[in-house]
Amino acid sequence: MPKREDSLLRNARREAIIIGLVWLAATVYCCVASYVLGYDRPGRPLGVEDVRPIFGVPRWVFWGYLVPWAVCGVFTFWFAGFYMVDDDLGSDHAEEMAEDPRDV
Amino acid sequence: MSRPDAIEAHPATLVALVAFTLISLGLGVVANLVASKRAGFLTKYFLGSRSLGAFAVALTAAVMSGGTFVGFPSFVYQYGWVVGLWIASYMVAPLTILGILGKRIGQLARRTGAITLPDLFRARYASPALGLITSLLIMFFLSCFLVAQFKAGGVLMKIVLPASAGDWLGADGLGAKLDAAYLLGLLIFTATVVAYTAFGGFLAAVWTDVFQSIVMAVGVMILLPLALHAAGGMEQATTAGMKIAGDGFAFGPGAGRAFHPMGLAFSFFVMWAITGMGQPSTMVRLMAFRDSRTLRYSIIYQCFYNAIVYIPLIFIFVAARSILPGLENPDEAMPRLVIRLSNPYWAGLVLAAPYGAVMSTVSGFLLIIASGIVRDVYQRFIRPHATERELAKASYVATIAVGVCVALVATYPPKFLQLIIVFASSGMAAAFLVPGLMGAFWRRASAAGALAAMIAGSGVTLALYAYGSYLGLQGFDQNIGPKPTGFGAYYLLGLEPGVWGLLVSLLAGVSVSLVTRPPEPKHVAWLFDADAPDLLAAPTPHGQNRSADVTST
Repeated sequence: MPKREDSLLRNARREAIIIGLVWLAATVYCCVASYVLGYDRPGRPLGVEDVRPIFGVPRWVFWGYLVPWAVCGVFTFWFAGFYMVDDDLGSDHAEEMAEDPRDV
Repeated sequence: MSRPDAIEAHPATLVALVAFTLISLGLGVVANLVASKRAGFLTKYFLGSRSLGAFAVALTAAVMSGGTFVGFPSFVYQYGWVVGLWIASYMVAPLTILGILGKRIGQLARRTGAITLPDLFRARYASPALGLITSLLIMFFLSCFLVAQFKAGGVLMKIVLPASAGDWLGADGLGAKLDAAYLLGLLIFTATVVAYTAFGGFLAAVWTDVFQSIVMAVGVMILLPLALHAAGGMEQATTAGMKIAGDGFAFGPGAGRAFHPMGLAFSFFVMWAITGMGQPSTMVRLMAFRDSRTLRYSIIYQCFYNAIVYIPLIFIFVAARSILPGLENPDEAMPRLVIRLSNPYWAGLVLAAPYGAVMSTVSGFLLIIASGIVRDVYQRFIRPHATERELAKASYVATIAVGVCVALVATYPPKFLQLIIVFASSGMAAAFLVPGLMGAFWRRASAAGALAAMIAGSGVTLALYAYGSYLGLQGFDQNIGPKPTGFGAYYLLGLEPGVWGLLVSLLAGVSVSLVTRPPEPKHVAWLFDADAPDLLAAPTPHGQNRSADVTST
């Protein structure tokens, strides 16, 4: 008889892959945007005139990590609030194990 | 003996901090009373009977420690806005840390009856040796972490004690190397945190965590408008910071030195958001939450909490550079700013934030080490049939003994708080994350693969830190990251050692799993398939049914 994979495992794997992709997107966007907008590099020294503040914070800070932070917050609210599945975690066997842990 | 460099705190600040400490102790007592009504000492003492609600999981799994309120503000003060990018992966950390492994660890812990991380690995991989090595590695890395936290606790308490407090310990007899006021601060800190943790166990640690996390958020909220007002707004603060520290204060890679070049920017998106999953303290929380719904809500709460604590902290300590322009010791940026800006009672409350962060970290980690000693050494090798009463006594003694030993080491405090925290976090993640991920999602993962991942990952991280420290002692400076102070990392190709540790751990885990014997199919079926066989019918590492093997080892 073919094996039937646990439904929690299937859901957890799918959710983990989506979260991994979101992490990757956040990492790439923040690093690239910050580098392009706000990193001092050879041939492009930055000074006071390059701050170009938005709501008082430097432009690269605003677009480089504050806006993505807000976007991730909205995504997190939707993902955890509405997308993730409420799987049953099963019954707890800790009491059986506590009696003699050697045979685990 | 008065301290010439003392920060002059008002007595009211001390009163507020003492009140905070007493509330924490009181919560420990109440937690003990509540826990005593539940069955099964070990599960309730080390795991709170898997009853954590969403608020508790969110606030106690937040990756905060003494570093959050001492080391991190110090970095922002020194290097400017780029430190925000250093911490920016906290935008996805609640999802990664709780969402990737949460449900599977919760399920596996229940199915195997695991109470500790070594329990879980031992059961998943059917390997007692793996369990023992996990225990030893946890004890090593967490002890390093704890020494740094005890130092932070002692320093914070010293700051609010009266200037003459050192005399109470007979400062003259202690010799030049020991700071009497620091020792007194350390003594008070140790007594408090060890007392409530030993007495109340996991629930005490969690309840005080929640209380302290709320105080931290309130403290930050109070400080933000005060700092912005004093600095004349963020634009003014940025411009003033650039005048004091240089143009790099407003840009990457940071003021004065290349604190956060792109290699490290990538590394720290891995460091906080990914390595956070591999911390034993996180995994223990993932074994303790109530149900999937609790996990989902805790992700949302933690996301909100991170945003209201970390983003304001960046603003506050960018502003601090213009408010306190010439601090000799940037680690004092937080307490000095608080005492400068607040009235004494507010100052006590705000100073309770870093103190609470340190206390909550210490209490959780003390229990993890104590559980390793009781569950994985005492119960497994010394007294397998110990009664509940014996286990309770052993747990109290282990918690107190670990606390006292770490405090003794911290009497000669290390100088590199934040670096030790990063080192211990990297080492633990490099050791435990890949075995955790493979164990949760890959049927083919074998005990040999997990062991290889653990040893290779932690070994590479340790080696890169050892080499970095050797170079630091020779006076060599890579000119990236924080200033070298003797102990430090070697940034191979510009990346943090933890990233290399994780990569090597992954390669070792996968390749060794593929070339070694696959795990027993029945054992894997028990953990991966629907309609899993009953626990008592499941196979043991000795190839027999559990029911036939209860007393055979």
